[in-house]
Order: sequence, then structure tokens, then C-alpha cells
Amino acid sequence: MVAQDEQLPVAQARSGDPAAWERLFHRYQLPLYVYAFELVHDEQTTLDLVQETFIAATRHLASLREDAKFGSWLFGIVHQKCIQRWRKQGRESAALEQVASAPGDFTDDPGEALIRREQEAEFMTLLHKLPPPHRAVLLLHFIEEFSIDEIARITEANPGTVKSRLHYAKKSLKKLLEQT
Amino acid sequence: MKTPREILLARQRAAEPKLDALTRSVVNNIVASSAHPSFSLRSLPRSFWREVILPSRRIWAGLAAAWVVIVVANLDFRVGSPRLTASISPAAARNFMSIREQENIVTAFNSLPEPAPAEPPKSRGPQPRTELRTEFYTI
Repeated sequence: MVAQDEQLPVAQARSGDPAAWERLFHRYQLPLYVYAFELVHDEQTTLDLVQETFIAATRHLASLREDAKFGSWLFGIVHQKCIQRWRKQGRESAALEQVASAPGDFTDDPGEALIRREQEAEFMTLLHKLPPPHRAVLLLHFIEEFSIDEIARITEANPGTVKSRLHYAKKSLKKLLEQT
Repeated sequence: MKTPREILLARQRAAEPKLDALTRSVVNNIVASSAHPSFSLRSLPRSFWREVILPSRRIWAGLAAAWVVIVVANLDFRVGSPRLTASISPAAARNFMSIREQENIVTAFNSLPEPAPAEPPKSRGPQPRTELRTEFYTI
């Protein structure tokens, strides 16, 4: 479970306190790494992306208006960097423009989807089979439990699109969990 | 039983030492930059390049290319250039030639020597009123 209202030392970091930055980076380093890794599938590239994200954060923290949105702001930076990397690699993200059709309801908690040990491999396989936009949305939902609006801001998509992508991804996951 | 988050994070725990080192290096940079403020005139061109040019290098490159095209087009299609006269229709060429002739005439007029200033008109004193009346009676 992710603590939604955890106190992060964003104000201290803004005033240049290195200890505050260390705390913030330590809090987000693994979630950012997981998110970027599942999108680019390369360890060194992912480490570079996380480092670039941290450096960008130290430079542009002044542009963050609400301290409480530090997490989604940081994920927004790494998401943009992943897209830039895809473009650089020539894999122009036509897939990113794919939009699933039917919107669904999302009352369920990401933590509720419990996966048995023997299903873990299938879960990861399914995750990798998803098109990148759906995978990104599902990862953001699972890793940090971001809301639809937050995911929309991070991925620069509209909330309706995010909702439908999440619906599509979770439907596929549910099917898998029922099969096994 | 695990949540998807636990599965995802557990799979990448091995990367944590590298991430710790990465975090330390970024934080050390913050410490270093706060100890030695980076702003100086010497570093200005480099920081301008890094902060202004590099992030939107495609836009800058596009603008530069557009300017090159404008300059080349300007040089290539300058009035009277052989390329321009070759590419225009006969009617337009006639118009162009007549404009050219008019320009030449104007230039020739402009190059004429300045005419000598005219003599001021001789001032005549007012005629006596009685003389005028005499003429009237004569008619």
C-alpha cells in the first residue's frame, strides 16, 4: 500500500537542502526505476533515465506549484524522458496513440488484485504484452496508486483515454487471474 | 499472495545499490553547486547553451534552416538576377523591363545638374490711382 498523504520534504528541497533531496530521491528511486524499466527494458538506459529525471527535478523544482504533487510531477518527467528515448531509438510511438474504446468503472483498489506466486510470471508476461500506453497507465496505477487525473497529467492524455486504457489493461489482467 | 506493486518492486530490488549510488552522486552535485554558486560570466555561454539551446535544439535548428532558406531566396531572386528573369513569363518580363526603363529615366533625371536659381521678379511700385481712372475713361 502506498501512503498517499506522506509528508515529503519538498519545501526544504526547494530551499536547497541536500538531506531533503536525498530523502525524496530515496523515496522515489525504485518506483521510478521500475516504471522506466518496464517501458524501456534496458538496465543501463533505465539508470540513465532515473539520473536525468533527478537532475531535471533539482533544476526545475521551482516550476512545481503544489508540493503534494511532487510524486506525479517526478513520474511526469521520467515519462517524458522515456518517450524521448523511444523517439531517439526510432520506435516512434505510434503505439502510444492507440486508444482503447470502452471506458469502465474503477472503484477497485490496485492493492486488491492479489496475485499468487505461481501467477507472477504470467502477470509479468501479460504486462509486457500490453501496448506501451496501456502498460504505462497500469504501472502508474499499480506502483504509486495515482488517480485517473494524475495519470492523465503524467502521460499527457485526457482522463477519458486514461480510464479506457486502464479498463482494457485491468480486464486483460482479470482474465488471466481467472484462467490460472 | 502479493499485490502487483510488491511483485514489480521485488523484481527490481537488485538495482537498489546502483540507485543508491546514483542518488548520492546527484545529491553530491547539489552540495557542490550550493557550495560554489555556478553563476559566473565565464560559465554563461555554456549554461545558455545547456539551458536554452539544447532542450529545444530541434526548434532552433528549424529556425536556423528557415533563415538560411530566406537568405538564399533573397539573394537568388534579387531584382534583375538571371535566375529570376529566366523563370518569369514574357508578359511579366515586359512589365519588368518597362519598370526598369522608368527606373533608369528617374535615375537620369536625378543625375541632371541643379538648375540655376531664377531671378527674383522686379518689384514695381504701386501705380497712381488717377492713372487707372484715366485708362477707364479712355476705353
